[in-house]
Amino acid sequence: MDQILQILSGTAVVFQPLSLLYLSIGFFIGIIFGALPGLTSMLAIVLLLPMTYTMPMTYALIMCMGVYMSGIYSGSITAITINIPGAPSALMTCMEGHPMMKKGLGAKAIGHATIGSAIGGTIGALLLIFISPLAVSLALKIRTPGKFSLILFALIVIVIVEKNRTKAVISMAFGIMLSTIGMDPLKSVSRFTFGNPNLIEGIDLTTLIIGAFAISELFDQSTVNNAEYNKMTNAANSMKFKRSDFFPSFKEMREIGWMTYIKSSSIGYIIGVLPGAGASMAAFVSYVEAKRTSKHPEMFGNGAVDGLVAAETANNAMCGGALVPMLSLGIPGDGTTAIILGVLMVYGVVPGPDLLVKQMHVMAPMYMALLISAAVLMPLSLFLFGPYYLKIVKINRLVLYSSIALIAILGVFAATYSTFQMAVALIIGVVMYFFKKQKYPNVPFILAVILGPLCEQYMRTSLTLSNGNPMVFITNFDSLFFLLLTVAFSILLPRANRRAEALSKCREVK
Amino acid sequence: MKGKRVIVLLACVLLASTALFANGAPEVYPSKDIEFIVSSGAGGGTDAISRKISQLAEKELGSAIYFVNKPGADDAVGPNLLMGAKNDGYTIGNLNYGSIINAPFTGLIKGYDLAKVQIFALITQEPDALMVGKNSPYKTFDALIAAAKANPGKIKVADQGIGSRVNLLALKIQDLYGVKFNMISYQGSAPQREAILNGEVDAAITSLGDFAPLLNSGDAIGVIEFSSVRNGGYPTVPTSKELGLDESLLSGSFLTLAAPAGTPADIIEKLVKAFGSAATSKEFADWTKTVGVTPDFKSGAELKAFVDGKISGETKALQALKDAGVL
Repeated sequence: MDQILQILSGTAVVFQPLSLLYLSIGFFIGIIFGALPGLTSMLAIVLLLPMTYTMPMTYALIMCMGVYMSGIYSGSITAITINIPGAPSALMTCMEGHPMMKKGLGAKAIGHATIGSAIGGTIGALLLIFISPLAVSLALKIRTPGKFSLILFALIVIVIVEKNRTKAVISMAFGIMLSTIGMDPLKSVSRFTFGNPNLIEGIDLTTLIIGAFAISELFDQSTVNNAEYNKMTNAANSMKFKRSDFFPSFKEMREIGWMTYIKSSSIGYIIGVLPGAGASMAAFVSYVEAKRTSKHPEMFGNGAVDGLVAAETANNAMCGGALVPMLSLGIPGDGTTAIILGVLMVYGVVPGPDLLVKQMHVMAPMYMALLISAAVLMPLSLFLFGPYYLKIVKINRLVLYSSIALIAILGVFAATYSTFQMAVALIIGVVMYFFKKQKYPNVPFILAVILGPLCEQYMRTSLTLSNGNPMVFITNFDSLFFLLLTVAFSILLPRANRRAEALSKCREVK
Repeated sequence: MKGKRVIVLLACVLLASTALFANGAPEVYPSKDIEFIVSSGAGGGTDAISRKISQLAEKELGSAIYFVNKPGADDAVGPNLLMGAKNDGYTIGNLNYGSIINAPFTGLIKGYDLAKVQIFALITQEPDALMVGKNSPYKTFDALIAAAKANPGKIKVADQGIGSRVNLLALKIQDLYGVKFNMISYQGSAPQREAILNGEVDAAITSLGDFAPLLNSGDAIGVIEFSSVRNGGYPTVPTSKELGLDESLLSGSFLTLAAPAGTPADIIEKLVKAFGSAATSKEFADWTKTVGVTPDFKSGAELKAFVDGKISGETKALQALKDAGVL
């Protein structure tokens, strides 16, 4: 009862004009940073840090929540419109959203992505408010060997879900190799730096994402002549959209299935609660699950709405989840929450189980801000800005892609303060362009870069825990569960793929 | 045509005016924003202390301080950047245990040399401690050692990677008491907390401040702090000195501030004064209690003695372990 009262008083705080202003500012900044490739919501919060010190903590936290929620969602805008994910969390959105855009279904794609994100974000925030203690005790059941198996699950499924598995494996191996450059995560030695001091920091994730998506897309565009381009985008550009076109109808949402929304939100929330994995992993796992259960798996990779919705719902549900271990244990769930933890520390607030019990009044406005960002601001922003998102593609191609590449490269500098990393991004861009030409998928590459280091760390820690005995992965219940899940998916997904092939053949015959 | 001439003229005037300003009255330091290179990522303990102290020092300096986070390579990437920065007082940074002890010892970065920086202030000290979970059977240091003796290689102790400060401390304990732990490496203190909470390890070594969330809630218990004076934030945790442990086990991190070598003496003096009054202020003292570190301002000869003492003592220990083939 007491908790509910405090939540209500927190709501009152958020609905003050000044709080709403800060929340909206944060949300808007998040949209911009999230949508621009290279600039992430994490960077936005880092840049806002000095500003937050001069304002009361509640406002600072409210603003951070706005940035966090919108930054993860808005990566989908550029992913759908120009095939460059604005944030790593929008990787899977690219795969389904952009094909939809090409078919002239841009408004529908953006609408579904936004509403999916809003639903996911809302459910995530509600779960954060009501079942945090339960979620924490669940998360603590999963120890290091279990985490390793979860990551292994993702790495194996990435390959299985691709059409050409050999190429997916090669692409993934390349990603894992690049991610080992730099300092060893658990020992004071450097690896594959060849005595070059610039390489000791490793290759930053931003660098690789910008190279693999923004720069390689730039090269790709440069090989398409204007006539072809016009033909390609004709479908998308000739459509006239009304504002109402952006809001998906209940019928469409029922077709996707309410279960998809609920399942994706739960997956996103749970992955958020587990420290380490983050939004891209949430989106990926949810996407794969949607493909497995989809009624029309043949559409996946070619503009499947349910795949798009599953990914977008999950990555925003992750927000609520990632705050759980940060607030209740002081263990951040992802990069952005790590920085929000820093904000709390500067204000002298120590997160911990105590915080949720004794200082609910501190947290309540933050919870409500997260909820309002998802439930109110997201649909509102769709209504206000939706049509403008689609106008992005009407910008002259030369100006559009070159300025995006420029911003992206500057984003690399903002994230790393290193000109060397900027050069690496260009090189990766060239390499990934040729990879793409040879039909090597880039999603396994990026997910390998994100998950590879975690996989290595968890494996090494698990093996020291067991004194080198690999049986630890089978004797631990949590780990065994994920390993069995891996086996189940390796059997079920190829089945879904075969079903997809059969269905598409069927269609051809018709 | 006329418009063009006006533009050219304007450009000339602008160019000339820059020369005018350059030759103007001598600048009073600081006349612009100061860059602070933090040796760890945004959001960590080092970052929080750096930002808090700068926020307080800004007032006296009268100039804003902005932050550049450069984590990596035993906290040496940031200081390495500082070593190459211009020594005009507009770039400063922090050096902590890793940057002063580990980085020169391992030589990971070529050209990394502490002579290229001038350390001008010690701000905080953060002694290491040993923590166990609330249901642990080892609530005293003696009980833990006895258990380790009885079960060699069975007691799991969480550290922060091979060759890290806390790993070094655990190795020293092993050596001194003739015991053997199973040391588990985690990347930083957050996963260490998780490992204590989910019962994956028996004990963890890092500072009390890093475990503040769990100590406050009672989920973890501080067994011993490797210091000579009890921690202001956690006065119930006994110190290694009280328990009569060897002095070589005194261990902990610290945060110092530095500028590139050759920064003018009057500028250093201003910085020392501003950061000194910030570090000794009541606001800072109150704040440090919440994060579990101890404010300990030192400058000048006192600081030099402190840093030199740390370097010679810890480097010797590292060398001994390397010679013994442990590292």
